[in-house]
Amino acid sequence: MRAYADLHLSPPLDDTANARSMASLLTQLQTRVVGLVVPPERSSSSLPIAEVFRNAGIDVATRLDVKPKSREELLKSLRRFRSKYEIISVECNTSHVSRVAVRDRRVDIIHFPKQQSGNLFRGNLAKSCRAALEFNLSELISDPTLETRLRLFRREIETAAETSTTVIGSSNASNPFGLRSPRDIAAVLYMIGLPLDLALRGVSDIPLGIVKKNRLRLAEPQIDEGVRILRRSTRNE
Amino acid sequence: MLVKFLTRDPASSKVVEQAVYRSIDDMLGKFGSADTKARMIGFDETTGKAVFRCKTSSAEKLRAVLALMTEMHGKPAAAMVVRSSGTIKALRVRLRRNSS
Repeated sequence: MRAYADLHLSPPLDDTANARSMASLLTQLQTRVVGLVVPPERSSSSLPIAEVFRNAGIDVATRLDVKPKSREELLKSLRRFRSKYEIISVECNTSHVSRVAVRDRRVDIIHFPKQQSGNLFRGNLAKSCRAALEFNLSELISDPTLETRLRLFRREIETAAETSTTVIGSSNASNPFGLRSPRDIAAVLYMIGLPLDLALRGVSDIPLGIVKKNRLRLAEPQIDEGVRILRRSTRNE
Repeated sequence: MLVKFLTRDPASSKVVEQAVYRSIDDMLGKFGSADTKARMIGFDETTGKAVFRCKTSSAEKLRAVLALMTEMHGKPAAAMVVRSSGTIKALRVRLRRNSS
């Protein structure tokens, strides 16, 4: 059976009752892994809501949403926080930020906010993209101008398909009403124009792969990408 | 399709059915709605779970429509597909297997 993931949850970090009802729903929806947005000032402390999710049998990965205003700010954040988080997502607010974010291998996920016109995922930006492009369902369901949003989403999906950019779908839920089944998010991506197999991978294999790869990187920071330790020598040779 | 409805106040079967049909009309239009052949065949008010049937080829459309639902009679609501199956019988079997 396919394992599903929702790498973008942003519930209030101290509201355990809210987290409990979200965890109960996520269990029913067969979500195995979630990405919990944790601000840098809380990254070192243990989070009670993470425990709530873990107790419900859900694997929790910590996620940082970087919203840099300049290229320098982005690079500084990546240097500071890459080794502390399992997922790093960058909100591409300006074209300078987008150009660096799509190329830097420390960035796992990029996101183009739909409120800002002009900064779109297209052309050379898409061709050089290494990170996964994220679609948040919250952007669709929280806005009354659904048609406009759908059009923007569709354009990004077409660009991603042309350039073979990986696409992932998340809910960005902060409470149970914002939650959706990852399988349903895949259906929305499919309706927007992504082929069904890619849409399904976008809520299962790809997000799970991101978490797995980064956990390996955090455990063995000195090892290059694509290399992993299978076993260590028992004797000093 | 077994669908869980999340509402602040308990909703009646009629309210849920109307809200879903309206949402299908809004998203897919009258022709799309007719093509989907979606029909609610049961609703449990205590758990907020409903069983819907539709054409197999329209399952993704129905899922997407349900995922984009945000309100029911002006009140916040959410709908999520908990299980889906090719036949109602198989869905019941899967439900029984998971509850035991």
